[in-house]
Amino acid sequence: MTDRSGFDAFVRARGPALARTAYLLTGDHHLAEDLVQAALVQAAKHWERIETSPEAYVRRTMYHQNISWWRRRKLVETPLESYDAPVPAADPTIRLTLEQALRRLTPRQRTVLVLRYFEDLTEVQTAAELGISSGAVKSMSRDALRRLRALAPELADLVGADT
Amino acid sequence: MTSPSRTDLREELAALAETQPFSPDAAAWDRGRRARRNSRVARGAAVLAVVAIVVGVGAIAVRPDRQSVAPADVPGGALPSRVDLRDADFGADFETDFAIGRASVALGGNGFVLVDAEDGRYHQFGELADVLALSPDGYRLAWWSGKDLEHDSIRIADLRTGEITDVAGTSESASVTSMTWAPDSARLRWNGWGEKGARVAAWIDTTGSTEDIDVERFGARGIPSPSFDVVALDSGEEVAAAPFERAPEPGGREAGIPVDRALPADLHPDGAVVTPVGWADEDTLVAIIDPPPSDVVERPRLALLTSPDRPESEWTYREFLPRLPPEATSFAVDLIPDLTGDPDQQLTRDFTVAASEDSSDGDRGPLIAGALLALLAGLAFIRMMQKRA
Repeated sequence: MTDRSGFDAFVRARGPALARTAYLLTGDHHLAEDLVQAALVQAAKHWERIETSPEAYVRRTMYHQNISWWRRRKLVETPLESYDAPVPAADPTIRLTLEQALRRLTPRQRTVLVLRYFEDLTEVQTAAELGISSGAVKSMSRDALRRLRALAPELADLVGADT
Repeated sequence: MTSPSRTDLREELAALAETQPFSPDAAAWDRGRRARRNSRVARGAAVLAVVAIVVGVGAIAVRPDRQSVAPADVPGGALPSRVDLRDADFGADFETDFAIGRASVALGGNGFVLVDAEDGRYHQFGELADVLALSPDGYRLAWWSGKDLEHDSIRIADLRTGEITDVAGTSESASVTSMTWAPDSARLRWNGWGEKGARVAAWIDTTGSTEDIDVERFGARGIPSPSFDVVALDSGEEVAAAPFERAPEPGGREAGIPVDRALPADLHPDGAVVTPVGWADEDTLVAIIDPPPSDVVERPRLALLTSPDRPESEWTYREFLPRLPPEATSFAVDLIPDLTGDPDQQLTRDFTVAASEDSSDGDRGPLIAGALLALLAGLAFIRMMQKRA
């Protein structure tokens, strides 16, 4: 199998799953598409080095890239005063509420949440992926859930409730 | 706080994620590979730049000093790579102290000039000199200032001590036309015209004794080789072959045996005026070669040419020190290094480069600092490229 055909096979097989994670990481369909493509370009650049386990490389690239993009965009982020305002309950479904609430998390909080509750990584594995300490993962995970509850109290059943 | 329902949350997240379509971009591979190539080129360029900087810094740091620029086997100085009075930076007054150390070139004229063998500086003296001769070792200068002047005698200055000796022995009415040092730099022969219009010649020993010699005998004219077996003669005019005299057989004639040594016809098809100035070694004459004026050749130059005493198959000819001013007539030929036969052997020293190296010593620190900064910048650039990769 040539490098190119191996890369294409990997993209065909794992692209959709990567795209799904990317959407949860970004909360935006277009950004998710860009994030996957940027990570795949990086994978192609270093294919000889990563071809034995490309998915781990692409995922890690997406995690870091998303946080990096957010840093560049944060000057135009939503003002803090509306930060903790509850999401309008215009949409009756839990899923849509969750989607909107996720968008109000910081990329770092969202990333930790995705790794812990979507990718099913442990705190230690999440810490290793993001290059931070397990304590930081635990702290960010707790903050993320607390914020979700604050943003959408109707998600309490889903994300747990304060004692 | 209670833990979230992991299963429910994961199902909801998965359901959300399912809304994201995926359409593979076929250009991703090409873009990645192009970026790889660009990165490699940039990294290669950065590495080359760093290597160049390192080499440059190394060259600056370990650059040999001016002494090593000189011919290695000639202690105490060298002939300059150019002689040009426009390079001279004369002070307002003539110098009067002859203790300048070794000289490499003597230039005649109104107030003669000596070139310092150690640093290439020009020293101008107020003495008048119709005829002057610098000894082969560069430590003695002889001059004659002409008749009817205060010093109507040959004067010899010891350039080590500055001591000047007026040499007796020249008759009051004699006119000196030429002076020639023996290869040992201890004896000086002068030629001239006597009171009655007859040619005269004598050897002067710097220790003081003088010996008149028969002007017709071998060795009474020209510049003798160290062994005195061959004498090189002035051609006096443009010639195709340099004139020499070979020593006569013992017991036979007293005059020398004329012998010619052809000049390279390809270099000088119209011949050249040959004026010997000394011997670099027993078999190699140093002479001023002055071809006819042309668009190509404007001024004379020095040349090394093999003695006609050697078989023609061994003859070599090499010109150096070009564009000599007409005042440059006498050279310390002992400053020519032992000849190796290498046509690229360095025979002279570029004192302008040596001077600029000396003057730039103080500037070397900032230069090295700048180069090191550039080196660090190059390393940082490579590190950045690696991080981006």
